[in-house]
Amino acid sequence: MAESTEVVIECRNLAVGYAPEEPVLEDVEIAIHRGEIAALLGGSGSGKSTLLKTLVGLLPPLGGDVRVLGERLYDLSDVGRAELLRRTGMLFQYGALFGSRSILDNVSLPLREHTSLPEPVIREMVRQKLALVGIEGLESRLPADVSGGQRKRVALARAAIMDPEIIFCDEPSAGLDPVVAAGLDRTLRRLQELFGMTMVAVTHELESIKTLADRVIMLASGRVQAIGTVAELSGREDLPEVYRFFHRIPPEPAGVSNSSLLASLGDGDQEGG
Amino acid sequence: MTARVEHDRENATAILHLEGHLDFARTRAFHDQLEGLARQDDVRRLVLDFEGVGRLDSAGIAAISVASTRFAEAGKRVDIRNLEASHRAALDLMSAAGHQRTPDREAGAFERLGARAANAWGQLTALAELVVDAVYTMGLIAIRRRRLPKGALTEQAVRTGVDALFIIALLSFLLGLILAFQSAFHLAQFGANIYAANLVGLAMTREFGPMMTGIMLAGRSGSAIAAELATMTVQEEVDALRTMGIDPSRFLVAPRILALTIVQPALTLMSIFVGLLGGFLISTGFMDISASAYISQTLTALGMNDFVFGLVKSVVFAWIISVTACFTGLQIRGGASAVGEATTRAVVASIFLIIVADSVFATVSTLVSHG
Repeated sequence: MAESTEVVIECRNLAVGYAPEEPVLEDVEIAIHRGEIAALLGGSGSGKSTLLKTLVGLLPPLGGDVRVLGERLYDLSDVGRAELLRRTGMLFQYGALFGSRSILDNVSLPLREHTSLPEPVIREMVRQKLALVGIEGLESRLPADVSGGQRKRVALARAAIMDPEIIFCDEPSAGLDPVVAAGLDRTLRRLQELFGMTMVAVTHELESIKTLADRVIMLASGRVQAIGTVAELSGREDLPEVYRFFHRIPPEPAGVSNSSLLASLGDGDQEGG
Repeated sequence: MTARVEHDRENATAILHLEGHLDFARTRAFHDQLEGLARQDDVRRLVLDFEGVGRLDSAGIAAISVASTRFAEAGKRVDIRNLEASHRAALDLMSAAGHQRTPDREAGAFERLGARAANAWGQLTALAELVVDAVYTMGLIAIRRRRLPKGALTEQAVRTGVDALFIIALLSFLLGLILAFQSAFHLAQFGANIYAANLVGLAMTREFGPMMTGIMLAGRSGSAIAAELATMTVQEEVDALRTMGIDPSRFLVAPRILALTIVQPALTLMSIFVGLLGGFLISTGFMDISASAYISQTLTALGMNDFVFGLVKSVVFAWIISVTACFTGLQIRGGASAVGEATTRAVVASIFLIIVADSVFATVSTLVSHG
């Protein structure tokens, strides 16, 4: 589905982190359009998940502005923010399913909390959403009784059950084998096509990004380093961190200089000689 | 959304002209209308006219799917007309996503009873396995064929026993004090207040010392053991032990049972003496009984067999508490709330079993000594 020009997520001069004196990311300028699948890409510790937490209302920004679906997320009251977040869904890295509730209860939770739909319709919606993500007949099981890939799909069904306008995904394919990961990527793409959902996915899986992302937002060194398509970014030799990431080139190891080690130990031969 | 119904009586057909959005907010009314039509005997076919439909979301699609199944079960049919491309695509994709299954048949009363009996039998078997396994492991530890994890016994003994020392001492002291007050007041009316020493001595040694310590440890240490093991089970730490070739029975269960087996009699003994002290202070301080008379009366009243009886009970209570806590902790399934359930179950079951065991002890000892 072609994305529209309507901006649904906008960050201006945003700083995110856990302590004001140590921001994880600064000067973040992002605009994500309706229907777009954007990948937040970066190495470990680059601030992807921290930025995602701020976008989903879990971590107030240290500075700057976040707009989601046209609203200033952190200027809203708690009730207003909760209402806005009902129009979004979140797929957590490890699913965050409620272990003591059945899969049916997990997926139907937002429907039971936020709508007055009749029970047969709720059950049918859950069945359809589970079928859409490739799971059938597991409604009565507990999350602990299904595989990791199935848990992730159940979590995706829960995130999508309210037909959200935006789905945020934290490492959607982490911990999954390549076949299951590819299947999940395809499911995400299918959901986007079917419901025109906007998606923001935090990931560092290059294969996933190639099949999934319309646009990549590359984070490194506490900044947004580049924004563009995979094809555009993978050829940017002028941005060494971006180039290294796409071509899987590790940085030169700092290593331990033999001379400094010897200097600190002293040279036995010379002393003995 | 509004929906105008047009009836074609000749063909037993109802045509529902839909207007507006078919989404979360409007699906309940739509569903109720479809249910009403499904119940009408003179409607054999329903036509949903989509000409005026705006947005269609998954709630609307689910309602159509439910109605379609309901009509089919009644030998009726649902048709859709004037679908625009986007609605068709959404319906196609969602209906392609599997077919509605007939709901599972509900189990009958006998089936449920059988399932509960099978479940209870499974639990009993698992409990027996745990006990046998623990006894076997501790036997191997006793003959030094296996060893406990380094420091585990001390750690558990401190956690379950030493940390409970103060609260058990305080409660026992108060218990002895209350017993002396209550009994001496009534006995004094018959000039028999010296027998308060007998009452406090026997009650603390044979009943209240072991029972009070048992109930306190069930609430304090049993719950802690159950919660710790349940959390470990939920977080797959117990499975991790197994995959490392470490027997959970040796690593987790044996230290806890052994620690309580050592600590509980010691605490019981302490409880008895502190209780006796409470009785002594009240009797000598307020009841005109001399210290020497009270001590002499207590020594006359109590025999070694009373202490042995109390201590044997305390060992049995220790086993009840530790085995129940380990069993409920290791048997749980589910998440965070299951940990809470396991903890509650461990405490309630331990206290219940302690009282049952105590009544068995009381009955048997009475029959043996007076039978």
